[in-house]
Amino acid sequence: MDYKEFNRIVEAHSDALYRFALKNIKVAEDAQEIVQTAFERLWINRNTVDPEKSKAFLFRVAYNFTIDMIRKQRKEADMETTKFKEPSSEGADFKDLKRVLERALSKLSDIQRNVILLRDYEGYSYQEIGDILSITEAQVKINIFRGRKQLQEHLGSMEDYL
Amino acid sequence: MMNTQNHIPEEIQWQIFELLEGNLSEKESEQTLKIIESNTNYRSFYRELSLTYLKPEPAEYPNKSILLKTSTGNFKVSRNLTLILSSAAAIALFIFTNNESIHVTKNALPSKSLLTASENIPSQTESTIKIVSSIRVKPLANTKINRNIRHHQKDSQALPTAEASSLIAKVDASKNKPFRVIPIIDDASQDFTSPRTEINSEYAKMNSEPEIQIVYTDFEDDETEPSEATQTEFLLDIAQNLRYGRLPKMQLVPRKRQNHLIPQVDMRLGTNTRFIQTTLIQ
Repeated sequence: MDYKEFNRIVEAHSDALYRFALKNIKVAEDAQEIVQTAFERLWINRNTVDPEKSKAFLFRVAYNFTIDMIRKQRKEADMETTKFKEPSSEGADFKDLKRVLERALSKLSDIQRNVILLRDYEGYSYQEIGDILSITEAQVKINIFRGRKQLQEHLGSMEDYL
Repeated sequence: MMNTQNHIPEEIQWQIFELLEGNLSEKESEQTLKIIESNTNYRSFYRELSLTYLKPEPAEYPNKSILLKTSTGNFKVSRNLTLILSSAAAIALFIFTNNESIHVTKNALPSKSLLTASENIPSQTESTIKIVSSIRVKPLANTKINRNIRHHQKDSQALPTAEASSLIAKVDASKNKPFRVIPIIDDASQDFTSPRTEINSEYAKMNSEPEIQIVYTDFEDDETEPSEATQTEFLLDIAQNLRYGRLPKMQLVPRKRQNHLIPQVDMRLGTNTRFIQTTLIQ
């Protein structure tokens, strides 16, 4: 992969990768860091990564980095003595479907959230998602199913606010 | 609307899911739709499940220009500033001749290969290469490594800030010692292939770039060997910050594992990461 090919990949995938990271991590600066790290890794491995598979490579790096970051954040949050009560899932803040879904999505397990993000936003097949997340195709499918059921359950419980 | 899942057999839930995922044939889809139509709970479940499909939202990565490269191994830097900065480096070289205030590393023994390459270096302890540069770059994304580097800021020496060009370079210009000044560019908007470096005749006698090690002291456990990923990120940060034309062969090691046979670099970032100072003493 030469620099022109690399730049083409940056143009083609950086926005999608940023969206993927942002949906996971919620903090713009952290999401930007994830994107930068993923592309740095791609550049380092430019001689071994097939350009055709670069998108999957980028998402795999971003996913791993995201999970590390989320775990670290959770650990730090657990260590905080002051606990801030999360806003109630009921009320005026949840009057639109998008926000309800966003909130429900954040409550899914990491794997469920990511399979759904990759499926819906990037249109990946089960096999491609499995390659990125290092799980089997069957596991991808069942995680999508369970994740959607949880989202559906959440939507059902929010009916009065929709 | 109520939670309908409990009232629906799992196999029907799967069937509805498969329908929404687009995994069914046309015939299977028709059959499933008929099943859904036949039951209120099924219809509710189908409707609710269909709402869980996310619609892609536009997002724009704001730092795209930082990622783009102009040629293999190089980062985008400014042609316009090259001349200014090179001139500034030369001026600074003249002004700060014999200024020793920037010597921040301890002496280490020289590498054998380097000595072989530079026969005219007077002695092992006297031969000194200093790469001292200033930089003002757009802050990179706040990477973990960058954050780690910033821990060194308290120790860094605040070099004076020049106007406009923002270049400050100090070198030990002793005639008997090889040195190199690398102009640093602060504009990433234009193409540039290789920064012009100022070297003296002693440096020119060397056949190759010296191999150096960066002694990195910010690991939680000083005895811990940095991972390959950490090294890579760190060196990439350096490369991006310094915008080296030729990146020296660098090795990142914890202080307790430094190899005194390899020249070392002590790298510290200045306040607000406006400049970076590296001193290589072999």
